[in-house]
Amino acid sequence: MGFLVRLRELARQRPSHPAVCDARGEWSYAELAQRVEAACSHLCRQGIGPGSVVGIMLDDEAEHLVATLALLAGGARQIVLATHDPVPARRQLAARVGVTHLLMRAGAPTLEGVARVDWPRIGVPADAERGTPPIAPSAGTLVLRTSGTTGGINLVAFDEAQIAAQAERHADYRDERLLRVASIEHNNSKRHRLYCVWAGGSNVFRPANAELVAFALAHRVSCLDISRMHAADLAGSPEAHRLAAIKLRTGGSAVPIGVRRAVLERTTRQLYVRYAATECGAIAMALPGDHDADESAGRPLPGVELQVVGTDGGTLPCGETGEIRLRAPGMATGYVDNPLQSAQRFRDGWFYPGDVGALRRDGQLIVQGRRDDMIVLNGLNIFPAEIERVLERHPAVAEAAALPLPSRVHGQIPVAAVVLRPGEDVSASELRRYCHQQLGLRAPRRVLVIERLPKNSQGKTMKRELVDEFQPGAAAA
Amino acid sequence: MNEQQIRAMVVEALEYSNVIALRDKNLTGDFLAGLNEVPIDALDMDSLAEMEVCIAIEVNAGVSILPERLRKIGTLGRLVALIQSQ
Repeated sequence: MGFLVRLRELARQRPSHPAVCDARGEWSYAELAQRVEAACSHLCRQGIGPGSVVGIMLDDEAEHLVATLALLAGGARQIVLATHDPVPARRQLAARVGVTHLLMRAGAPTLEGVARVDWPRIGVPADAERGTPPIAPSAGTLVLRTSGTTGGINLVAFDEAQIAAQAERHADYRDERLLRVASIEHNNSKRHRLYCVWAGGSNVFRPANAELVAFALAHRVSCLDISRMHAADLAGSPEAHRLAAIKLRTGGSAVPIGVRRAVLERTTRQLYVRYAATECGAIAMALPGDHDADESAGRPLPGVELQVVGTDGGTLPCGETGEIRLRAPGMATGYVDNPLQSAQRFRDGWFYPGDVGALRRDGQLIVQGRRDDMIVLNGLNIFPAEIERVLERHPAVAEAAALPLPSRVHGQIPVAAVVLRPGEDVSASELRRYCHQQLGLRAPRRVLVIERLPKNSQGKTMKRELVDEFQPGAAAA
Repeated sequence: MNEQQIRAMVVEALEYSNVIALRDKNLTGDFLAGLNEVPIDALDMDSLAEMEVCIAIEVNAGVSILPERLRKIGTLGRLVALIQSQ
């Protein structure tokens, strides 16, 4: 079953249930279905259908959602060319996937050499105009970018059935009013917006300039999905307690226990921490009772088969650290144009996200870091996450990033950069000794106190940029 | 790094590596002031401590020394001079 069929089903089952809410008002499922059908007919008239590759450049989230659903129904292949990305980056991505049409607001600057289709604001069509667009014989496809923090950006393609299979892991969205701070132009947001539609829940979109807490309360948001960075910021806000009744979901990178405790104490007791990968969607989720010093990623979600394996590929017993592999409904089977990476990450029906971790006896998954990030000091394997976890437990430390320095003699030497909490004053030597007490041989051999960690647009620390800070003679705070 | 900073770094590396001979023999102050020569053999370092001292020198001063070569340098003063010359 595709999304249009699902939408028609929802329009019958819960016609007046809010499907989309934003500052302009609400659309019911019946209205959303009509808008998507009208949009699908509009695109069909523009010659878009199976065989088309459409680049979406729409920053209006509600309209973007309608366009996404219409393109899926019409059988086209689609990719987001995010309006916040520089034009050269959009041009490069469009060329890489062979974009044939650009879907954009009338008057917006275009990319030369590609046919543009102006996106009209799609209203609910009058009865006379309403036709039932044919459902395309082939499924529409969503092309998503991986985050690219550990190498080049990869592309994965999901057809409607795969997205629907992933959405089954989020059936609880049915009764939620979901607000994600990240725009639908970010692929993780886009996917969760689709999961919410599939479940029959309410997608709430916030204008970029609207104050988060006031908007969430005014629009009765029940589930707020934000990055770790935003979660930490929100917990530090005097307004945080006003969201005590909300479910707060976060993920995207490791969420330290300090951030979790801050959220639990100051924002809401209903904290969910998700472990996910672009290639397969959500993998595991730590529930409100799961947050402890191990910084659990929770138990694998229903339908996800997850193992921890050793270097010989054999499964490891509980508690032993190894490489994580999994298979899940709706998982990709490879990258769009990267057979080498596909062969490395997708093997024998398993997906290897490149993370290292362990399964506890109670089934909780502890993710210890990226396999590629593993630091090998004179044959000793050290994961940056274990250093970061220890440093971020220090009362003076707000944030930490551990990384390797290459060494001809020792292989790699672990070091760490930390950002202190406002008003705190602790020396780098003191932090190094503290790590030594906690970690012994696995401790960072040098700690730098810096003002801020370099981050990418998704809030992930760009560790490669920190290496220069550790060169002898480089200035440090 | 100047000589004073190198001497301070070596002392901290020894302390971090749990090499307490310098402190036990009340030589830390004199060494920091450059007043006496301390034979490396007199520090009673095991191989792990030698490795840690070499790591500390590399990560703080950018000078690579093989742990097995450390003793052959002879004295802490010559070690300081070697680091300074690189």
